[in-house]
Amino acid sequence: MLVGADDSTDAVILQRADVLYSDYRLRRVYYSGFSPIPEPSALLPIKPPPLVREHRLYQADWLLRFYGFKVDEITTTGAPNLDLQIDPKLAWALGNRATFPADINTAPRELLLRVPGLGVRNVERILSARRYTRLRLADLLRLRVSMKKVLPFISAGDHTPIRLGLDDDALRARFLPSPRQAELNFGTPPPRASDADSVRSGQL
Amino acid sequence: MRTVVIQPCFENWRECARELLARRVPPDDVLWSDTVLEPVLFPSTDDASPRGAVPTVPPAFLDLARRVAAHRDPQRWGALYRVLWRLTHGGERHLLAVATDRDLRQLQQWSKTISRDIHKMHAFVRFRLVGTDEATSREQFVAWFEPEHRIVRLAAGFFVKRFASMDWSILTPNECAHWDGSRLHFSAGVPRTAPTVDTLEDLWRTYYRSIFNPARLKVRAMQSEMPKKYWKNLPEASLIAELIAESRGRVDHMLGTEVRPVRPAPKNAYLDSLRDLNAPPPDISSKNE
Repeated sequence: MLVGADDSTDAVILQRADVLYSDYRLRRVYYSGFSPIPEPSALLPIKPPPLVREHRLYQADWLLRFYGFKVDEITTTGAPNLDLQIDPKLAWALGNRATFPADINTAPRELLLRVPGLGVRNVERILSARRYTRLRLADLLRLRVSMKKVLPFISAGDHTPIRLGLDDDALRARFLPSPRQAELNFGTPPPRASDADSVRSGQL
Repeated sequence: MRTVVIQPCFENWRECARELLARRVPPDDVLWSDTVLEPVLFPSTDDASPRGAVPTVPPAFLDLARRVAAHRDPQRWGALYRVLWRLTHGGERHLLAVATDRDLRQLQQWSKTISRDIHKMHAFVRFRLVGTDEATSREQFVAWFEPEHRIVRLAAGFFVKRFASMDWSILTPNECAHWDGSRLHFSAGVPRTAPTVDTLEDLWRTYYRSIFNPARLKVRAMQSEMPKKYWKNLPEASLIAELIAESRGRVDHMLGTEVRPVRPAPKNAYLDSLRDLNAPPPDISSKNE
């Protein structure tokens, strides 16, 4: 599906994808951000949509197919577009904090799949490993789980997320890219044509 | 402590490991080496331990071990034997299910590296036409490739299926694979050969140039898919710098181009007749009145 060539919201696109998956049994839907063409048309926008929108749609698509999410959980009528700054799973978890923390040693598969930072493969590994051993944070590190993402949402053998602020309003800010200092130019401004005149005449 | 010197291949390691397992030699007592150049620090002691039955392992371990054996890390033989020991005499038959285990994790990471290397070899081998066999009139192709690990045997099956109808050789520094239409065989590696220029390469370069979309330039994503170490053997790599450099200007040009209005429908008698046919039929009930 072409994204960003008209004003369809992400909710519309994902609902269409969901229909294609469930009713038409398609195996895969591809999303392609509209990209400008050599001969622009009045019917099409000039500017391409941000490439990250396409990426977020793919992430949401994966949540639909492999993680047991429903479209109306990922996009709501209040916010029909996906958050471009954080991924849809993290956005869902931040909006449904009452579900967490999930204990990685006891939580069911459905809940583990909803923990931000845990992928399908790692959930399978956790499920099979915890039959034989009690999992600790070092085990998750070995599975190369992103600790920054996962820590507030889980409890493990040696970890409770008490001080990581699952109740904190600022939790979302922790996952955003760090703010960048905008540049202020304090240098001399470039010379204008009138400057030469004022130098010659001595008048400001 | 004993030192086991083996050929760097899976089959040889497997034979030695079976022998050691049957004699119940724990992994801490074995020093594995796949080069004879290293002086043996602790000369091997004569084997007096009785030989028992060779225990069996899950088939998944053999698949894993076959991949890990292709890795270049010198530690791999010892790590493989340690996991093998734990699976059998160590009493951890379920070890392959515990992906968080330190030893197993290491093997799985090596295996993943090998899978990636094989995938890249499938993608980046470029054959060059060198001639035609007069007896069989089959075209003969040669490719030079430098994989990171010893993966030629693991990766060759793909090329047999994909290019069964042509004769080809894939030359690498470690091992070469050859296919003549009926038999796949391997020979020792060769030093880098000067690649001959292929007439089809310009065609391919034109193709790559035309499928490149300047508005979707993602340099870091491209380099993680196509790491720079492969560039020197890819004919299309010479285009990369140029395409990246001019992409900005091409996009600006597209954005700055005058927007054309919606095209009017073409004047074409045939299309008009189709449009008439497609028009809704006149109302029959009104005619009867």
